[in-house]
Amino acid sequence: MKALDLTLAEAADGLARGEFTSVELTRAAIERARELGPTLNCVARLDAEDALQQAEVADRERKSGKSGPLLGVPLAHKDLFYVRGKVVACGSKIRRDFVPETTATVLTRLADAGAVNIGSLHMAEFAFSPTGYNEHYGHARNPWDTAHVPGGSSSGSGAAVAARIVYGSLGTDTGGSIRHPAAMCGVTGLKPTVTRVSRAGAMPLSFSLDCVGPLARSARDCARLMDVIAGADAADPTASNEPVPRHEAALDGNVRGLRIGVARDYYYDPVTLDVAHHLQESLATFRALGATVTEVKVPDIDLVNTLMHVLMTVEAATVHRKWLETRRADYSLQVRSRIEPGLFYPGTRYVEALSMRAAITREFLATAMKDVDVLHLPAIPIPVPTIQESTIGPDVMRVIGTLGHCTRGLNYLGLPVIGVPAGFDSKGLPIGFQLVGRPFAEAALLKTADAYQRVTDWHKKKPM
Amino acid sequence: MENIPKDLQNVAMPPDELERAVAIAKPTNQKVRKAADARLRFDDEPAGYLDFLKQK
Repeated sequence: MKALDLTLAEAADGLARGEFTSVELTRAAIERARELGPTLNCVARLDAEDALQQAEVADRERKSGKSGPLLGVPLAHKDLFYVRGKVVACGSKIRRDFVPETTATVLTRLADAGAVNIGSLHMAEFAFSPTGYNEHYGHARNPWDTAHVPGGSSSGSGAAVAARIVYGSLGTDTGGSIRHPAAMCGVTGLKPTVTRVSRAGAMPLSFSLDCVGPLARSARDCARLMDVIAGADAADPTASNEPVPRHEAALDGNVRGLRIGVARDYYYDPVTLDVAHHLQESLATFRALGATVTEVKVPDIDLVNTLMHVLMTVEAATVHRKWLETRRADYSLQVRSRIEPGLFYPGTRYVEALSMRAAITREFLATAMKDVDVLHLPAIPIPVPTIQESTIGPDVMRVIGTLGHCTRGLNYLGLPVIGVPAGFDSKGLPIGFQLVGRPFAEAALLKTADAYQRVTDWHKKKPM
Repeated sequence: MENIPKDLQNVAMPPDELERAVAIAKPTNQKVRKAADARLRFDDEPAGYLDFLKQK
């Protein structure tokens, strides 16, 4: 059905104009999930009957005069957001039968805005993989070439949005888990400022670093989703009370005078020629739009990555400690190996890593971002690897480490980051860049990405 | 392994996996301690990051 090729915002607006019904869109999304879901291994659970009932309700509400930014739009989300009464496995064997008693705040907010939830999307085991690696349920696959990884840990979200199964999806990002699938599947993904979006009812990996955010086909789509999900939440005391701006209303296409910083030190070290070429082209586009581009220096990112590693592994080991004792064999070795070092950091190292966070973030803003509004960085510095390259052989850990080279430190800093498609490599796999903003500057990032997408069409390319 | 007696770990791990996890943790511990010695002030504490976000 052609309507599935629309963006989320176009679909929502088409529903509002009566060009099609929610039942029609939802039925098409379910059919496409059934058609492509097994090939891409991107759907964890399809709730066809529930979804069609939600769509019927949306259509009835519209007839009775109700409107809403997402009324009747079919979505699906990473399988770690709790849905009361449904199995939420978190990509794991351990939670294969877990049925939560509550629903994640973000899913409730989407439902209140009229969105239809057609089910849950596949993910890396307990959100621990930049590739989407999952030994228990099989690896999800990249819709541009199924021999390649889709990126993780929100692997199903990236694949399903790119493959036109759903218009948008929520994921989580602890070290790049929204930005990796966005970059590798050719969709737009926003990791908001830490605490900007409630995490209540999302299975934690690392509560200091976890961020909930959208993956969709355009910056405008992400802005519309952010307008619905961002903001304080009584169920999550860590969620920020910072006022939420109107993200979509800020999209005016004007980036004249915007100051863009390019950090070549560290971030460009492993960048391949193919990737570098497209990064340069995207900068040329911004220059043509009236932005200025200058080179900036960044502080010691290796240290930032080390501190991020301590927070992530200690907090994950705390969440998983009981299962590591009692259900050790139910983890894949790759995931268990990433959690276990967290058991061996003294409390003092952990508190030191937390305590240095403000000073190091302040230093980053005062150096790398002193004279610029946003930073432009590679998303992943190498071409999208194949599943084989990232699961077998001596190069596996190097490939996995390189995928997170440009993403993981930004979670320690807590800054908002948007991933934007910017072309394709010689094998036809997507390439993307990241834009980094100041705390709570999501609207500025979305506006910048939207201006880029008004004059480029990388985000409109369709894989299958 | 730095400062942590095995009996306090309370997680059953095969010796080779224990060694591997400790081998990852050891240099990280040293790097964090060194950075903390150089940067942390007496009044720095974890909640400072949330205050920092609010100020921004």
